[in-house]
Amino acid sequence: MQQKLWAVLFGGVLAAAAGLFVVAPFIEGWWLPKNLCSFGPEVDHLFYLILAFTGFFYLLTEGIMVYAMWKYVARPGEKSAYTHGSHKLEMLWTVVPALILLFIAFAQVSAWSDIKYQSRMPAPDQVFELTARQFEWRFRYPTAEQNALMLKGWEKGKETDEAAAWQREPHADDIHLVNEVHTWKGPDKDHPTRVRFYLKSRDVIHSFFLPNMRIKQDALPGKVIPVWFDSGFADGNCHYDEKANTWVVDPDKVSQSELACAELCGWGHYKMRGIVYVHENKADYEKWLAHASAEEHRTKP
Amino acid sequence: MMAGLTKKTAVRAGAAFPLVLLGLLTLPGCGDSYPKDLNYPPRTDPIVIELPKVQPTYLDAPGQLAHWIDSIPEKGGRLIDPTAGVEKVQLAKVEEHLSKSRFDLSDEEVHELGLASKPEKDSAQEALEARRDSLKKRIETITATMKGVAPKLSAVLKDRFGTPAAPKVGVDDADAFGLDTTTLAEGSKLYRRHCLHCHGLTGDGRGPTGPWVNPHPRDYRQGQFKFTSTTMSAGGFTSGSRKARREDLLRTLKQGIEGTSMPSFALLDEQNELRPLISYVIHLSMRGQVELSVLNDILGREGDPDADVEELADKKLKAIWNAGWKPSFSAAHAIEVGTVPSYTGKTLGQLSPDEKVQLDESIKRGFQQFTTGTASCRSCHNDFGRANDYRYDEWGTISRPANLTAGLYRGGRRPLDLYYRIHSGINGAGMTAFSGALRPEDIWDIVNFLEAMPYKNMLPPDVKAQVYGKGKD
Repeated sequence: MQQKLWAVLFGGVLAAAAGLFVVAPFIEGWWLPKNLCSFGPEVDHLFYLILAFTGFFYLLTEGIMVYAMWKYVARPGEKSAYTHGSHKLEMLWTVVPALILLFIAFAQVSAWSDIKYQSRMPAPDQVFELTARQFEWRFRYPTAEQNALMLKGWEKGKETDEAAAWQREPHADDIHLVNEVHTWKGPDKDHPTRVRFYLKSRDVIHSFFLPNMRIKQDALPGKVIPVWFDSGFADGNCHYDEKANTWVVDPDKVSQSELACAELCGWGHYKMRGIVYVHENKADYEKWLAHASAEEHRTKP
Repeated sequence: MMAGLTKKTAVRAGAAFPLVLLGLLTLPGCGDSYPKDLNYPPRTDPIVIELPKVQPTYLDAPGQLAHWIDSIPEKGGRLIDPTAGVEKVQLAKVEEHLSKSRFDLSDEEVHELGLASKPEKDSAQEALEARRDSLKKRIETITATMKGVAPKLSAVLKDRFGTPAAPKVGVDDADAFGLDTTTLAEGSKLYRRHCLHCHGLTGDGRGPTGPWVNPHPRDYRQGQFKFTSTTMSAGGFTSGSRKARREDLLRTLKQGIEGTSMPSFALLDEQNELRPLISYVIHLSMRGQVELSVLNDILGREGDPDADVEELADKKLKAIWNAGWKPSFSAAHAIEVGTVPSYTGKTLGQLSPDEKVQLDESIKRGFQQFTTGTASCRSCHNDFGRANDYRYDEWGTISRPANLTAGLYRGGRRPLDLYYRIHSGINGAGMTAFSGALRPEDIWDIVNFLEAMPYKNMLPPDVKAQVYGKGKD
């Protein structure tokens, strides 16, 4: 009967949508971006957990709907059956999702606290300040000496007075850059380079988003927000280019290191992009830092 | 209505859907280059030839840039309008005064009506009638002139500068300076994607976003650039020769302009994207300035409506190229910085104790220059820039002497950039060139003072007290 074609149409589209999820992990660029941060697996785990729940209920509810559209299709002359609903059923499909939500709420607490709670932030290896403005990211890096000074005596969950003071009062030796995050690969996976930076905004709400580090934090005007991430699973992705006299990101690793703005901030929101340079090791990073500092203090053409 | 999905309908819907999707691809905006048949539109906005004498006290409201420029004559400035729009508005006002017999004019109205001076009450009517007649004549002249000139001007501009999709620069040695047609065509595509919405199709700074941001995007058509590193003399659009070097434009693209809406384009590839963009901007500036100069000559006070447009345009183009851009590119005109003191351009950690003392002395000297010395920077940068007023810049928009305690520099924060600014000034924005009045050592002293000023603890105590203390003079 032609009426059943609706069920076919719906069923087809819904099945295709489900099919995309099955196929996506195997197609380059369709699934989660490569994770480079050590708390990334926690975040991804939550994603899969929620996907499992929603996927199950999707298949269940849509399957029932398509089945009903097929089996109970209107026939000429047939009268509808009336029902006052089922109290038991309504209770069931309210309480069960509520319990699942509660479960998710508790399951995610540890991931959230590990990433966001200041009291849980580990002592960093690198500190800098990032000010978001329309439509770029303005970085302020300390010199290597200043960085070391700020890290001395840093206890987990706190910040040193030196760091707080540096955040409040910029130093003349600070290095200013636009749209470039620089960090370095730790010596091994157990010692990733931990970055803890201060996020500010100069005008409207922006959002610092590193897809490959699974970190996202809104930048609020008027607030200074500490954010941390590390490069635990990262490979070095940049090298010094003699000809350009600067560091360049390896072409095949550019997409593994992007910074994007994740809060609509105006007409240029889409172009508020940055690149994360993961230097091979600390020495290379410090070499770059000295190079950038020299450029900032340039006195000859 | 939804009851019967017939097989016929389903097949039709199924076939139509992908065709609709494909059809969306034909919408404008897809594809990189400008449409081949698009021409640069002729200039219709007025040319600012004289700025008001009175300083502005407020910024132009968002979106009101055109209105702001149009109101310059009311404030005592002068415009040349190729569409005679300004004159027509004045004429309407004069006729209103005449028809309502309003002869008691305020100073503001005198400006609005374009009268040279305030007339006596009993000769006001005569003055207004004379003004009306002269305006009518002027409107007639402009309209008649433009009728003859406009098509010729468009033709010669198209011949020398091409179209947006196929731009070129009609000088013999264009290719040697990166202004060949291939580079320009590439630059035009990139400009369309990245720059057009602010800087406009002709580089007039009046793209859709332009009037809504303040400071407004640069209008390249005056051939004036603010952050340059050449020694050429500045001047206005008729006599100025100082242009930006490619390095200057590259610096602007890479770092953006902090404190304005110009973002950083450092993520674009330098060789394949930034270089063509720079060439295209130079092309737009040259084209705009040729158009501007020709219109200024023909419609100006001593304008000649019968001038040979093509000859005039070529003359202007030669002058702009040979006396402006080409020398600006040459290393011979690059600013030289003299001997850089050893204590300048180092981080605090790199200074030896002796150098630290020398730096303090230099900062003190720079402070002297700033406040009471030849440079007398304080005369514009009131309270070290914290108490500045608005000024008109040569584009008719607003600028302000910078707040030098903020550590925010639009032209770059390197000591070298500050040296360039002090040495050759900021063209179009009123910052004087001090290369004649100051020796290189003096400029370096001021640079050291400026570099230290945002960081209170870098200043020697007595200087710090005067800049930041309560009892500052």
